[in-house]
Amino acid sequence: MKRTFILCIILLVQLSAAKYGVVVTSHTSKVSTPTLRQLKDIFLMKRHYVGDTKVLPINMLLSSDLRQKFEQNVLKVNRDKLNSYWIKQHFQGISPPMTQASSRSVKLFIKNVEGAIGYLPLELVDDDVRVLYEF
Amino acid sequence: MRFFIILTFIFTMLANAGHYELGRGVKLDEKLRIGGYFSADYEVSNTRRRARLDDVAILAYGNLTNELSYLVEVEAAPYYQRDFRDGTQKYDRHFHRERLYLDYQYSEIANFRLGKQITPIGYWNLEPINVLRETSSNPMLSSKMFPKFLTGLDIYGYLPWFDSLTYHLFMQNNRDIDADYINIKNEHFFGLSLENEVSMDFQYGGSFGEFITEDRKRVRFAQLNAKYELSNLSIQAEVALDHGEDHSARVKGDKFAGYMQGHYRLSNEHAFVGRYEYFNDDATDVSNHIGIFGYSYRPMYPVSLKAEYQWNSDEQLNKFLTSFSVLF
Repeated sequence: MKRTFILCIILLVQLSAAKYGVVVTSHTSKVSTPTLRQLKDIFLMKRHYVGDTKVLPINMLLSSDLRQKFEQNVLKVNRDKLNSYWIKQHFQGISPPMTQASSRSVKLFIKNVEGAIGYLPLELVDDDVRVLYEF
Repeated sequence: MRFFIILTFIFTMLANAGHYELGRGVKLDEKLRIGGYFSADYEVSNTRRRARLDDVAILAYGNLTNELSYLVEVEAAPYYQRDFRDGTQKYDRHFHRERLYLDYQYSEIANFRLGKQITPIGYWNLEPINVLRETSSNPMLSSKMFPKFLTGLDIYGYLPWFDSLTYHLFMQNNRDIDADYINIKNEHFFGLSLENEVSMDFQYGGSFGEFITEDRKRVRFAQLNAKYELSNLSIQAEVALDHGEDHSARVKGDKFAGYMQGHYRLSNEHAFVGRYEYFNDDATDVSNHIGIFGYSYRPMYPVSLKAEYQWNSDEQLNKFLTSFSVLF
């Protein structure tokens, strides 16, 4: 009984520490590693530079599970609040980050556009991209 | 007539847009997104019973290059109003230039906005339209203490070494682009605003600066603001102090305005709001305490139906207000 309980606790701890994806930029990009705060501001279109480099955030489609995890773990904002945030930004003349339909197209975009930052599932990470943050 | 032509044009565009979400505008191209808003309100007080089609506005914006973007907004307000007590009607079908600027993103710490823009002070002034507010009315602070708009240059960005501290250094040394459409006419206006966004739930900041009014009164102002959100409850407060003196520096007068507003969401759609505000003007000897209690219904965020009752220390000013507004 005690052993089962301990195993359950270990399993829960491991599950809670599970990573869903990574925020990446191109391997050749000059973007320095942003803080979590900077990353959040980049995807909320408040910050457009990291150091001297202009950054361009790329989102997955609204229906994507990975986007949901990204919003929960990096932006730490729920969908309703995010929705009202973007409506307020529309009045300020600010649009949300552009979207790509699949993780592979996000990766391709990042590879080809200087300063692009996006998020990918762990299995798509290879030498073409540089990991900035895990979530 | 012009209004209906514009509405027809917009709804035709919406109908043809591939994917449209209310409150986000229509993206025709990376260089052009079009949207707008309108509001209608109804007021009953001891002195009037008035219906208005108030703000009718169209806005367009987009990115011209990676660094350069623009925004244009034209507005007519009040587009139409009728007082049922004395039978008078008023129209303003002229669309004024409310905002017209270019934004140049140069770096993390220095970006430039040139043209007519909303003065970057506080919270209320930055989200002044009915649909984004939680009450139909505006606090007196939003119209009496500093010019709402700036026709000039704003340099803004993050302060070096601070992740969350932003600044706006703004200046104007000319007339407003549309001087008939501003709360305080002036030809000289500058100031500095600082804002610390500790988190999306807690922010505070302040501003100070100076402007010279059309009648040559020099006014120095200081302002503080803070807001805090705790699950369903949000609290927002702002205070501002004006110290004015005329050209000869003999006639002096101070003004103070402040408000604190609490907003409690029962759900995404339903909310209650309460606000207390105080305004004092030494020069005109006006002093007023105002209490507001209201209800807000948003079937979806960009559609707002609101009702409120206002208690004033001068009972003649007590009123009931209700409004309907949409951002599209």
